[in-house]
Amino acid sequence: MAREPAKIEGRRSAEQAAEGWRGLAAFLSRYGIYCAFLLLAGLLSVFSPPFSTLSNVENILQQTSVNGIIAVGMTLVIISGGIDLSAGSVLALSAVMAASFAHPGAHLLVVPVSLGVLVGVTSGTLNGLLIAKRRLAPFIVTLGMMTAARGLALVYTNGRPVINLSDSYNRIGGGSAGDIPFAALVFLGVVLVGAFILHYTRFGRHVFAVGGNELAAKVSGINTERVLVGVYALAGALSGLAGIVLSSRVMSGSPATGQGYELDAIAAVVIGGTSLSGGVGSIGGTIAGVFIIGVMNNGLDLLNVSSYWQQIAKGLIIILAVLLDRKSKN
Amino acid sequence: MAGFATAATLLAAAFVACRQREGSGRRITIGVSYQNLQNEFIINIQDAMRAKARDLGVELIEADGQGDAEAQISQTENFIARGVDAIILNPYDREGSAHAVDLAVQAHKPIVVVNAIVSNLQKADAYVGSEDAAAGRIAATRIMELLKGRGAIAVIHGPNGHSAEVQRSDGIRQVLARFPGATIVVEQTANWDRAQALTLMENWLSSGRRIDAVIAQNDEMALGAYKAIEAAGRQKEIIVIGIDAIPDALRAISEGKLVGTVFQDASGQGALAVELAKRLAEGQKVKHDNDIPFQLVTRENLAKFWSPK
Amino acid sequence: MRTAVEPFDGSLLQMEGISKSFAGVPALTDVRLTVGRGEVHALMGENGAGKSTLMRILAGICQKDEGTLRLRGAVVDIESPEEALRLGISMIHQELSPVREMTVSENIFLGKEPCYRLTGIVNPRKQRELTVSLLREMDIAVDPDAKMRELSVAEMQMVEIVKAVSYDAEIIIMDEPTSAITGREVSRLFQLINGLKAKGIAIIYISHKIDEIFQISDSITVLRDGRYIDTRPVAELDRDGLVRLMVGRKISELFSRVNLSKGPVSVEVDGLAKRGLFRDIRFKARKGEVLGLAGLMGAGRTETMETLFGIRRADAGVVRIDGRQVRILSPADAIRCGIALITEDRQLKGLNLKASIRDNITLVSLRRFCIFGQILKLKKENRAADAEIEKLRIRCRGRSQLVGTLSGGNQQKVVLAKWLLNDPQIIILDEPTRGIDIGAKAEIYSIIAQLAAQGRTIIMISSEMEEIIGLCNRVIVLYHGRIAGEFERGSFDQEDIIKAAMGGGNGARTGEN
Repeated sequence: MAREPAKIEGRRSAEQAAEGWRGLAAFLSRYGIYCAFLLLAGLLSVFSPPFSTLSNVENILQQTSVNGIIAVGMTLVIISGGIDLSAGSVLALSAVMAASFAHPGAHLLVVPVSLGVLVGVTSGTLNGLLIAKRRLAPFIVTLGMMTAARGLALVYTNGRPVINLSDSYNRIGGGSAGDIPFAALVFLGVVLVGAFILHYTRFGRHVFAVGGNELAAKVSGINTERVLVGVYALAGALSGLAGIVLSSRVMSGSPATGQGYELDAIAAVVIGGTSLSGGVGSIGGTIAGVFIIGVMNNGLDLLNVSSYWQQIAKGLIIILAVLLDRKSKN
Repeated sequence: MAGFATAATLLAAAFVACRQREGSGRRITIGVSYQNLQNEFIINIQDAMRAKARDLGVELIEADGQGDAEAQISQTENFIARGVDAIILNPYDREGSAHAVDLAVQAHKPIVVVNAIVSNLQKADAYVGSEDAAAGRIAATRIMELLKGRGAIAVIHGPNGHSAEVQRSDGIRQVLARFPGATIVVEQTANWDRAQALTLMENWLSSGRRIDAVIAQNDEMALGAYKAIEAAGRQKEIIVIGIDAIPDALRAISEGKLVGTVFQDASGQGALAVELAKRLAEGQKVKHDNDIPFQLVTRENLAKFWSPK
Repeated sequence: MRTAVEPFDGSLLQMEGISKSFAGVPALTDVRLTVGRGEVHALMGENGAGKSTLMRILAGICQKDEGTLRLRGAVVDIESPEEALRLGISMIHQELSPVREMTVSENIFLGKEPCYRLTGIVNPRKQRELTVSLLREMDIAVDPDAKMRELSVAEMQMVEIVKAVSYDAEIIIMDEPTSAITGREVSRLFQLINGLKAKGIAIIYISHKIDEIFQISDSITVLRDGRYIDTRPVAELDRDGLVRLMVGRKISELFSRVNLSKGPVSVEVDGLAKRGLFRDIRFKARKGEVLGLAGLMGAGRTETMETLFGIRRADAGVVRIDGRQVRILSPADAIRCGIALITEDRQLKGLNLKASIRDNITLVSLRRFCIFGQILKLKKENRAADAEIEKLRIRCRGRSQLVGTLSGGNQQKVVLAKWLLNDPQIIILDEPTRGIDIGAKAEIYSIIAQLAAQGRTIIMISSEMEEIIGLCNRVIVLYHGRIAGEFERGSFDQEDIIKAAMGGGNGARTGEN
């Protein structure tokens, strides 16, 4: 029952072709997101020349910083198997509290900055404790924090934005070192620290372990409660930091700000390839997601496309990203 | 456990409702649904209403629509069920909040609409407000004065469908139509949000388009746009105007940053609304249209509205 | 006791010349299988031998590349699971996945609910009636209105079988049906199978448990490396013969010499108790010793060891490690005392399937690869992982391969590597060779023997008599949460052990107290 040589030949070249496609698929599943970003940027440069000017690039860096800072924290939370819906509200709470200490001549800059971060850390730690110790679902806990923090911000300011902020405060979010906006430098710093923690420390490895299989992590001797509290506290701190950057950029601490920011962060994380079920992800992917969203918003503004179409485009990209991710897993 | 909590809540609610019953009969109660108390301007209206209510000895039952027309309808239904003597509606959405007026009319409750209009305004007993189209006209007229009738205009809108946004857009367009030398080169919404307007303006500046003036439909957005212009160093080339006359904007005018704003008399609106509602509750008839005019605020007449603290 | 062999006419199913490749790698080459009505036909072979692939082709889950399939003499092409069901072929998978929130009758009739004529509305009374009559026919005592999640694993399996029968299946494929049940429940299952046989239904039975195969099957087909080796009536084979067909070696060669020298006592447990689970647990274990823990499912073996390891908290009891009394309140505590626990469910509690082999292997001992206790030295970590992969002969594409894609045996080796990397002195193994093919089993047995020879203490929970007798120095038997017997090597008697496990016996105790 020996097969004919011609059949074997045909089979082999078909196998080679299959190998080629498989290789491409593997490459795309790892680097696809970056390719998509380059493609998008390329198209926009062609259709809108002002896109690739230095000042526009500066704008993009400015505009993505806030979402990017939140998204780094969100990445860790999602990898740990959870979610943080309170990011936008904690951002607002930190913003109003920090801004209220940033009037001209009132306090040294270090006061509003550390206060803002402290508010974030506290909210995040509270989230983490409820989730880890009381075993409540992250969705519910952070949903509650989202409403409570927003309410607290409104109570603290009586509903009105905090205005009259000092110029030195403004420089944090609005100033630049040469051509690079400070906000982007803060963003870069957060990215580097976040990536280091996630990919090069024992804590980071524990985050992946808890997200991948919490029970197995516990049996392996990991203090899963400590890991979870740490992750949410860190995310809270970053939301607080983002609040400082935002309020200093617009020169007002508004209790109504930041609404929906957590969803933008989650979108960036998901587009970047992190799985919502936990255990898998990377900071690099999230950054690509942040920039894809930012570049798209910027580019479509330049082309004077209505913000409603922009929203549709953002939704389509998210769905596309998830589809590609699902395909590559199979 | 859940059952106990529910029972306790119901008991408490019944208790409170009973107390309410006792109260009305002596004092007039007025149900107020605000469009969104996260808006500084609306808070000003609230302050004025509360003060007036204290003066007149009426009781206000307040609810925050939180930017949701559906919510305002539910709140109106609740007011009717509680047996308030009159209702004041500060509508969020021109079409969406209109049903609340129908409900009040069906239940024979007097209803006063304040600050923003609804599509079935004629059915309400009274309207107190400033015609938002006028605000748009005033702002656009000021810009035309300063630009001598020609130039490239950028318009930053409020949320689409919002009663004020629709009206102000109309007013702006009406004025600009009279000047063939002026064109709207870009327009987009920034949803009343300062940060969104900042980003939008940044991107517009990047696009290399020529812009001579920015008409922002509220002050928060005007301030955001100005920040972007200032950061790009183009304050001398582009002038910015807003609407609302919030404190931050008035300060900006004093510093020469904004070229003006339009003052909406929140206090006047709120106070008059409460007064009219009380009179209606007492069975009196009132005038339907009560217009409180907008006023242009510039550096020249700034002192009337603001003093540096 | 098997009766005279009845010749089966093989008229029901004939698979001939079946070949299948995945991504260019052949999984089956020219395999054949013939099954007759009312026959229990066992399909055996190591993991990777091709048994599951062959059955998945039969059940319509994947398509063959070459070969013919004949059902009742007629050639058929099974393109989908739905078609397989229509042709009377039903498969009961190893991992049961019923809809847990639905009732028994809802699950049985899922997808084919009896409806009122012409409408799509389900007729719940009819559904229940049908369910009750099916259950009665097969003599299964399960409440048709119970939710699936309330049932035991054994009961869920019975329901799956009823479901298969309700499709008028003529061929039922059972994949590792006894992987999660023991003793009485297995007998019950066999009763059921015999009942199905009497009705003319053929069963294709995949299992690693040689004992059971000899008990229940009529014939055995052996596959090795994707090729067909042989088919024999069960009466013509003995265990050695079967193993040799599968692997090329004899059974006794699977177990190395047991280490007889006894070291000092390393673990001492006294009066360990937890309400509702176990009490009066008292034993000693020595260095270099393999202590077996036998008993039925539910006897409390896993719970006792989980308490020793700190996953559960004891109500009472004293634990001494190397003579020192210790308090173990968490797995971290146990690890610090030098204890390791390889759990019985590796996928649930032992591995992070989403992570790489390296990440899993280094998880427990991560601190050894860190500067300042936090910063990872990746090169050192990678080297350690590679070393373990080689030492334990884990078959994989490299340390970055995701653990979820490995075979059962290799996954178990990763779990072992994870714990061994931390150099534990006391190793607790819970059903270490569950669901693993015979080749990998042999490797694990030799690893266990090596570890004991190195002077470590091994405590092994097992339900396979073979393992207990082949590996252990001593055996403790648990029954309903209490120690029912202790046996020394030399006075092992399979019957005594089983009797003690079922509550009888004289609870023989050794000098070890």
